[in-house]
Amino acid sequence: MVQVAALLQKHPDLEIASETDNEIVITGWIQIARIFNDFPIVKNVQLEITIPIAQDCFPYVKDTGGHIDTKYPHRYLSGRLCLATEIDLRLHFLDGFDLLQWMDDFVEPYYYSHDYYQRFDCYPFGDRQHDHLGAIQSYCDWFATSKMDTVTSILLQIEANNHYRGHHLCFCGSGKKMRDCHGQQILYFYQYPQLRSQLISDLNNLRKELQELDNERNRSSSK
Amino acid sequence: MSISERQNDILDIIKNLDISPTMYQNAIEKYNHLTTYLEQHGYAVTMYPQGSFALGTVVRPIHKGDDASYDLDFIYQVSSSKKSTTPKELRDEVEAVLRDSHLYDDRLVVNDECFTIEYADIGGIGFSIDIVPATAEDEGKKLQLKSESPHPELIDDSIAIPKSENSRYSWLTNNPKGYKSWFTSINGPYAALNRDEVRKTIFAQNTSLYNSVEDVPSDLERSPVQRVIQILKCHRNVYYSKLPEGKELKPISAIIGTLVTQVAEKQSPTTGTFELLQCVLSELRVYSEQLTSDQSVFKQAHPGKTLLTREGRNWVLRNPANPEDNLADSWNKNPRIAPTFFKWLACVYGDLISSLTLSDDEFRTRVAGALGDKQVRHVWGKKYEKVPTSTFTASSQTKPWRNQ
Ligand SMILES: [Zn+2]
Repeated sequence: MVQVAALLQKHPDLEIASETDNEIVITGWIQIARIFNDFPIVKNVQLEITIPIAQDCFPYVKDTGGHIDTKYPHRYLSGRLCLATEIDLRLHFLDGFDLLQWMDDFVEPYYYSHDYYQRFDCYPFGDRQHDHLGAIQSYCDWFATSKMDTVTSILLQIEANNHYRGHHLCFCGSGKKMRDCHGQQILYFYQYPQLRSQLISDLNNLRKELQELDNERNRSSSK
Repeated sequence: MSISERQNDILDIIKNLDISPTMYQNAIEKYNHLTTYLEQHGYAVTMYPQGSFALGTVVRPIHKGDDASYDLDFIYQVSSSKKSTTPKELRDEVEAVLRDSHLYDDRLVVNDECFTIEYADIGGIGFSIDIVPATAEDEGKKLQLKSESPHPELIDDSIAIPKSENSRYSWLTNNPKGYKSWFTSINGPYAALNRDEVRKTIFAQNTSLYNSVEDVPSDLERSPVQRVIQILKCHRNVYYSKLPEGKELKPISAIIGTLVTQVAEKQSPTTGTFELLQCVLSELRVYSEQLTSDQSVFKQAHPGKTLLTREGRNWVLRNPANPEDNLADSWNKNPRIAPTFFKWLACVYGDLISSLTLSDDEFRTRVAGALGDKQVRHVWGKKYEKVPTSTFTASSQTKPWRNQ
């Protein structure tokens, strides 16, 4: 609630539209005035922000002003914006969620990326692939590797091991001790339980996705 | 809010990217020095500028966001005939002459088809001279070109230049002098209308360089036609620098210059810079229909629109001075060039025409997006700015994602 008050103070054209035991809905306008690569964007956008009361969920945004092109790849049919992967968000807010920072670091960059993309056909900061491959890209960034098998090896072993042991061999398969290799990045998943549960849920989703692909392939080959 | 004040402010940015009188004088001195050297050593050549330096449409290119140097192009035309030499011999002969001088040997960069002499920076801005060897085109070829050309009177200036393909040399017809005559025949009436005023302004701003208005070189005068070409080139440089593969997609200056001049030909020479810019953009927007519609449908819908055509599947923009030169050649090799070109022109319209009637802040944002925020800030300071923009920290450069 304190964070909501700070948000309304920073963006005076926002107001609380409704409030229940489960969520707070905020509607109105915010001004975006950002610059990247010598290219400025200054605009007012109309949006609806839904903030779940539950500790574990991130808020989400709906484009109510029709600013986001319906053909833009990162927009749900409902108008909900695809700000980032869950794991990107969790890694960003390790020590607690901050509504103002979330606006600055995810909502505003989202609108900026959209306008930049419409004009230049490319994302100023890149984008994530759709579905769970996007999450894998987030892990690749975090573990500073572009190799799929390295990152899946790390993820599977974090899932399988309940404790961090720095003197053991690193999960990446380098043959080095963990503390001399990916130790620092892996340790986070044991220090912050929400990261590890996100990782396990991402792996489960990925398995489901691969299973569906497999089923489809079997179905089409049996025909 | 005054539209004409805003237009002048945009022009101030373009003027800042134009070659300065000091820079121009410097380039001319270097050019004179080179021609004197050649004369003194008994080489029977003529050197003359070609391209944007000859046409008065130079703009400073941007290089990865920073200011880069001006490239000035020259033709080095030998007096011996095309029949008496081969393309390779001519090229080697010119290289030997330039190497012969210690002054040029040090700064000479040898490319397949031209030689570049790089000069030290002046006031932080460098320039380089590109020299293309050439000989007069032979009479038989000229007769053939005349029979194919809508402007046969321009053909006598045709030259042949050594063209390299996989280090094999052949002759390529070119006609920069003829092109300049064509350009001047259309630009002349525009330039004549505001000449006195333009010259007075240049003199007033450069009294340390010139003793009187008469001393101002006519090459520094800029007509609305030249300004429109410069505006489009500046916008192109910034826009395409941000596109992935922008270098391959960027329209060459000759396409921009030729299209603008062709549109200007049909307008009254009293047309002002922004009026002409709007004309050019509106006219060219019609041509974008050729991206999707069948050529016969397009011809029927727009019988007079013949500046930029499609023959079969190919885009064609004839060089007015050389019927063998299709300026849109590269468009037919990379199918993304044409759609990107028309999308770019739509951006120019939004940035520099539609923006003129928006709020101060929106106007500034669009022009800064068009010509670069740094450049606009350099010339305008904080004018029109209501909300300062903030940058993205590394951790706020976040990536959008969609889960189905
Ligand atoms: Zn490792």
